[in-house]
Amino acid sequence: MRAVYLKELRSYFTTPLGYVFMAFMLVLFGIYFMLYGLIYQNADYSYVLDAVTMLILFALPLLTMRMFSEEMKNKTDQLLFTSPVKIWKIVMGKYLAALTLFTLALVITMFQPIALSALGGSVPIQKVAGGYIGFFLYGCCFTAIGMLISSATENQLVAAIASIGVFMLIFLLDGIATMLPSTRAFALGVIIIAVLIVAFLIYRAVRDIYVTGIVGVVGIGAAVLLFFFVPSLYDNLLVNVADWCSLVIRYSDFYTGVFDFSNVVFYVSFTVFIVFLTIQVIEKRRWS
Amino acid sequence: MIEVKNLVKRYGNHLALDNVSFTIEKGEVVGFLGPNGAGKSTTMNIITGYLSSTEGEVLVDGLSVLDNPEKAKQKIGYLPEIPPLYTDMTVNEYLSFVCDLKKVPMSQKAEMITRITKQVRINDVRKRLIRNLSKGYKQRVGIAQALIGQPELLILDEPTVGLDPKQITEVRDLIKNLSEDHTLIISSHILAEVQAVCDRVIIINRGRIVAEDTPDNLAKTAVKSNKLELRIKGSKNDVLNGISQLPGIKFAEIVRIREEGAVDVNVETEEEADVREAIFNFCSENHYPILMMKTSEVNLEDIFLQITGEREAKRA
Ligand SMILES: Nc1ncnc2c1ncn2[C@@H]1O[C@H](COP(=O)(O)OP(=O)(O)OP(=O)(O)O)[C@@H](O)[C@H]1O
Ligand SMILES: [Mg+2]
Repeated sequence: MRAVYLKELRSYFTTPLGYVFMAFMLVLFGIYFMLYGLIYQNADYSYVLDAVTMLILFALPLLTMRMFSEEMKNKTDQLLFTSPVKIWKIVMGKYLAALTLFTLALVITMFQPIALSALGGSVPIQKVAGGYIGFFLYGCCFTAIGMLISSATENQLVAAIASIGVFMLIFLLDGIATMLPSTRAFALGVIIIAVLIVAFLIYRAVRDIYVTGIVGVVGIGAAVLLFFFVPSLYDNLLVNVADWCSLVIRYSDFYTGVFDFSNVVFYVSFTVFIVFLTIQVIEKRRWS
Repeated sequence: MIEVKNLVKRYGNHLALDNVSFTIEKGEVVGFLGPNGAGKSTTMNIITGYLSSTEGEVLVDGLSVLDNPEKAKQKIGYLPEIPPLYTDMTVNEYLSFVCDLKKVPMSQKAEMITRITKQVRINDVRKRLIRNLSKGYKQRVGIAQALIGQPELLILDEPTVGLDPKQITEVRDLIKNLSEDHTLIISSHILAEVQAVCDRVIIINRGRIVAEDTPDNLAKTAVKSNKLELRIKGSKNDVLNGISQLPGIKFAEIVRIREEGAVDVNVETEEEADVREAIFNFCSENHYPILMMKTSEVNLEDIFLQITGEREAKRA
């Protein structure tokens, strides 16, 4: 794991990507810092942490797009996966290297709130510290998603564009949910479609029509029964679900000064799940 | 050392390996031959654990690559078809990374890299970026990479492909050296390559093993017809027709025209038939001077083509 980690870290700085990412992050934070801190004379740095949430999603693919795509394209993955190192360690090595760069950029920006407070601004330390923790967790999730996408294609450009697309979709998820019809029946329809998609994925994975059938029938049956017996469950269901899994709404808790430990648990489990999926995608490729 | 049992590999609906089994003893040098798309790389990728087989298993020193991947992989050095090089590293950095991957103890690293770079003669480029190396050097860095960690078993997938003739001889010599203290599997579609070093040749075609023997035995058993190469002065069709009709001749064809007014003819004779006198008599009767007559050497190329059935296809 250490070998892969160091190699990745090194490659961020032997190619321009690492520098471009750092520069992007610093310029981004710098602009908002100028705007809020210097022009509006607002010492509440959490505004900056809020403002950059979307734009940073354009920077993260710089870190993640080449992670596995490049290895597959150059066939260097043959070296990694025939070496006596477990696959999860290779994945973790790469993931931690990307995370290190992200963290490094974050740490460098910390000098801004520190400078603000040194210049006599009354920085709300708790809010800003919370904001940074949240921002870090938020970055962990999106970095993992970028890595997952990179493990699925050997074309870096495709990986980058797909990552930005998926990031935007996730970012706008709760907004989209509020635009959809909020009737109970529509929610039921969406649930049924979701069950069908899950059943299809299960079928792809295990190729067993019985297991697939059972999952599908039980899932749809349960959804329909609930619809008739506990219809209130379907009120605003989509919005609630979208809010619950939204990576963005949870983040806003952090920089508004609410420290809810369940949010930390959510982000960490989400990240672990995506890293796990990445390992599965790579394992699966060997069998195809 | 290696036991390959009933390997089947499907890519979707395409059957790439169809029940391939063989064993390789410690210290043996085995050539793995087959035309493009035969399944050589697929087999090697399965042995090294890069791919999983659809059915069947591979044991390296009794260890299954699937159940015991770390231990099994430790015993194997692999040079894939395309050397897995990080081109933005220097040779030193790259080999040091490979040492870390293969868990070479820190204390042995420097010594091992020095020894291996000397052995494959890349000493003089150790500080250069791999990107800037010539193809031959890149290939050798690939071989160096496979040697790191002192694996007992080396698997080289087409190690001389794309090199110039001088590099080819050098890499072959290198392989010959390596064959002295390693179990070795080399794949190739050039026969001369394996003929020189291999104790045994496995010929594979369309995912099946079609022959397996020593190079010498293959030469003895597989080629049943004799061949003559002739250069005769005279008109193309007359010469060809005349020779084709001589008793004992199975097949005659014009290969090319090298000298003005003369044709080069390849002749295949019935088994045990010596047609040289008959050809001489025929030519002297018709006043076709014989400029050259020699029996062609039986080489593995022919056996190979014969067994894989491509010659028939070409003729048809
Ligand atoms: N990833 C893949 N997906 C689908 N088919 C594949 C894949 N890899 C190989 N094949 C097919 O499997 C067969 C065997 O391929 P393989 O690369 O093992 O052949 P080979 O003997 O190494 O040939 P070559 O001499 O060209 O290297 C070929 O028909 C090839 O088209
Ligand atoms: Mg091949």
